[in-house]
Amino acid sequence: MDIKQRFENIVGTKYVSDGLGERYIYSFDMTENPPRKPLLIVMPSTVEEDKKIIELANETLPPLVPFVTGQNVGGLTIPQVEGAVIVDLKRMDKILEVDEEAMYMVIEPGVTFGHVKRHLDKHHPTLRYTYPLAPPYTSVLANALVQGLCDLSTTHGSMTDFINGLEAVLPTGEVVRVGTSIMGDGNWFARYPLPDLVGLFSGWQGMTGIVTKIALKLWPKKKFEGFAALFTFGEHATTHLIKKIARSGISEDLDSQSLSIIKMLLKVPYPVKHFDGEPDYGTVIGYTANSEIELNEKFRQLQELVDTAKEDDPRIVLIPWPTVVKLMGDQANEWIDFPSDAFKVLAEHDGLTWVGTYIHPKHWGTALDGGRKIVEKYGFELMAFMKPLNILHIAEFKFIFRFPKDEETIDRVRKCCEELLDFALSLGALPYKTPIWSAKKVQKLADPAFFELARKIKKLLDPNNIMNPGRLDL
Amino acid sequence: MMNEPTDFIGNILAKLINLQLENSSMRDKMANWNMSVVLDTDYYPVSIIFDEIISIEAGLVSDPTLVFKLKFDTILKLVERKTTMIRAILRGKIKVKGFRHLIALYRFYGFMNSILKG
Amino acid sequence: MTEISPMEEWLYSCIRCGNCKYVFKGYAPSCPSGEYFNFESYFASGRLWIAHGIQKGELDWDPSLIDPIFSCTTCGNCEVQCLAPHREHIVEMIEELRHLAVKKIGALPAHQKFAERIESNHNPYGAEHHARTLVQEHSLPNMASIVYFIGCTSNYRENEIRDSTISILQKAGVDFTIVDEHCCGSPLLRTGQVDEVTELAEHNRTEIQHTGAKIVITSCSGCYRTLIKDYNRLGLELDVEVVHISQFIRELINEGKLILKKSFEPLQVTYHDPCHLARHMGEYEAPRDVLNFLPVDFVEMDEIRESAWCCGAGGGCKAAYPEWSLETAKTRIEHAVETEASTLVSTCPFCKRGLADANNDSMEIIDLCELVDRLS
Repeated sequence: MDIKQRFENIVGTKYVSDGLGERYIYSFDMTENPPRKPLLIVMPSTVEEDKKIIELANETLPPLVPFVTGQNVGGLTIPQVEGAVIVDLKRMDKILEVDEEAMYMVIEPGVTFGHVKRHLDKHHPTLRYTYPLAPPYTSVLANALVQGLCDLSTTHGSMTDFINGLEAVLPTGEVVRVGTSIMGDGNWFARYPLPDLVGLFSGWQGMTGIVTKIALKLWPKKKFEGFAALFTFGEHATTHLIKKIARSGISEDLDSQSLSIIKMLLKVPYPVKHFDGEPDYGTVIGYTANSEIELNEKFRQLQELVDTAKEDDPRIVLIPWPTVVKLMGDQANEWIDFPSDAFKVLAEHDGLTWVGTYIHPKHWGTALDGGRKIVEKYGFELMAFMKPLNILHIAEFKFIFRFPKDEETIDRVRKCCEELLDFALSLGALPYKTPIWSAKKVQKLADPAFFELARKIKKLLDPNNIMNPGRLDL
Repeated sequence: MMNEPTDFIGNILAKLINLQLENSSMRDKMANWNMSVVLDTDYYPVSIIFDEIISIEAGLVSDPTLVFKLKFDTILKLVERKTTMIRAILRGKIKVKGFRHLIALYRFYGFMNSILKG
Repeated sequence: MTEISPMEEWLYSCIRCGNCKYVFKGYAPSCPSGEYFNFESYFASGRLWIAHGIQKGELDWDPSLIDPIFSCTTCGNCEVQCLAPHREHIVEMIEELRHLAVKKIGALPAHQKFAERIESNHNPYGAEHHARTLVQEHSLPNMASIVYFIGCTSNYRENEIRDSTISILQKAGVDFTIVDEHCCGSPLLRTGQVDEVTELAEHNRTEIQHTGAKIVITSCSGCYRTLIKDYNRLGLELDVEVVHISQFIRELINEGKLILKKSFEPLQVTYHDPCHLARHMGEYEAPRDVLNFLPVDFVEMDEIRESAWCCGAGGGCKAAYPEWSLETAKTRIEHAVETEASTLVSTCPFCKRGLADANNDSMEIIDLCELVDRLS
């Protein structure tokens, strides 16, 4: 019996394919990372099937690459070795539990942000989850495990910080849980106390097992929400003001982006250029409150912070959202209606990528300033994006590229990304959703003891090295 | 309808103007204006050219009929109806050059009032 | 098929963001194929990328590509949900890819039969061609101001639609006739067998011209789309106004030419938008207007109009992928059952056929023409 038949025996013939079309489609993502065709694709629907797949892989040794909804970046689901089997988890798509009292949900890998939104709006309208600036059909579990950002990150940190616990099939086939659910079902309320073993799975890019369930925090939905747009000039002045706003705790969400991105939202056609004198950044500020009085007071406090900044640069403006809509049309409301369709502006060509890092807040302005010069040198549209995380314990920034996937442009994108990352690394930044090329650069500069520890853990958990080998260049 | 320019202020102004141009009588009225106006903002100047069609360009046109010097913030206040054109002019928030072109001034005053109020 | 290649123009703007997979802001599934087959290659974005691979020489033609390429009902729901620049051209690109596939690998056996039967019998069912018999049966004139273009499925499978349409036209005193119609070509166009269609279209044009008619009515949404949109793309002008029967009935009622009965026990009905009439041609209102005229209680399903779930019968899928087609229709019937309506109405013989085959006696499934004929 060949290996395909053995996988078919586990999940059924309908859910295994080695067709040329499937192998091609699963061989790449939207980014510039080099493709590699898998041997076949298998689609389990239960934990038991995941377990059997891993047991079979341990016996026959094809590497397994977890995959969910297909909007992948950083080459994270591209096999790094020949003969890999993609484990597409999108059939595991149940919202298993929503606990209103302890405010968490337990979901399977195939659950998307859109589905969470629909489920909560319908069944638990007093609770909210959080949404990234990504297509609404991204896997919630995957984004949480790869430390993605969302519209509560300014207040609460990366999505990994929202994990209460999880269930995984280890590379050796055992099913384990971490967090308070080790005490049984209906008990996924916390990640601690005891050793924080969520860390064995978050940021590992599927190298330490297949996560089959995840418990994520939900939040009470406040009655009032407001938005405002802030237009600023210069990287240092902008980050200085954003830091002040973030530290004030007024805003729940802060997304700063190059004005080019705002102009894309205004439907300015490709390629979007910067005009001398235009603001450099547009920031969307979200804030919530329990009453209209509180909401208005929050805006007043925002205005006060902005007025202080205006003493240095009177051109800075803070615009309440109704005025933004009046100026820019009803479409402006689409940008703040999460899960947002603002992502559509990134769909211009067949390629999209970004270099994104977590960085010390003190280097934020320098990183953006230097990055801008690099992007301009390579002749790409300037699409910087930044967000303060967890009030301002972490600063995040990325440079995004929408590009046609032809050889010349891919080569230029790669060179530009590398130069951007080199610059960020020189400032002590670390890339997230880390592609292999990027991990290699980090390993050259970082404390080798960290990667040695990571290798030991990987070997301990996955002695046959079947789970997504090659990621992070371990 | 006019083309939307690719600079920030011009694009926003074009969107506001296009809303007015949905009204055919407004279109007909403006078709004979034959004048140019510079909004010399603290961001950068934007020129609005009224010819057979209206167009907007980032930068200064030569020999404009009128020049309005104002801050982008004042444009926002006009949109928010926190001020009016007259009040802003009287308080020095808008400085006007080209008073001798009274008809042009009168036309542009009405035009700005209608596009900024929406 | 056309001089302009949609693939050349629009293929290179899909990053596989996945918006095509679900209803925008509604988050219900939108792609019958993707929902059933699950692999990424079975969603619109996957198909575009297969085309991408073929065009760039990264993917060779291979029999394993047939299923992802042909298991699409071409319902166009992906086009409604997609936000990328190419959104209005997805189905065109899939049909172009099918055309290439037929040239390189050949048509699917089930689809090839369409072509063979159309050649021999002028209809894809291989039924005995009998359009002229109807003229005698109903004493129709040779010349008339209106032609009723019956369509093969109404003529050879869902005869009630044909008969109720003729009945309605006669009740309203409409001056119409029926021509020696051949298949409009829709089954071939949807399955990549494009080259044979021009001859069919020219035959139909000649037949229609001989009657002197200025209007052609169709009771088939597929014919409606083909006679207007596809004939136009083929560069063939019919020089007549093509009207869907729902639009025509609305006019007849508005003008008082069709008198409706009163009913004291109104039916609870819900309406399924046929893809070819609705998404492809933008006609959402006429059938609803007619239903609102009728003495029925009309209730809507959740996924309707632009985001309506497909019945699963289109794009040659009922013939080539009957099991999946049936599952897709079952899902639509479940949507209808949720409304608690007793009757599911559509305006396309193909939808009726697909839905009826999947119906487990949970509701009555009829065409709008049948309902109107019953109540007039």
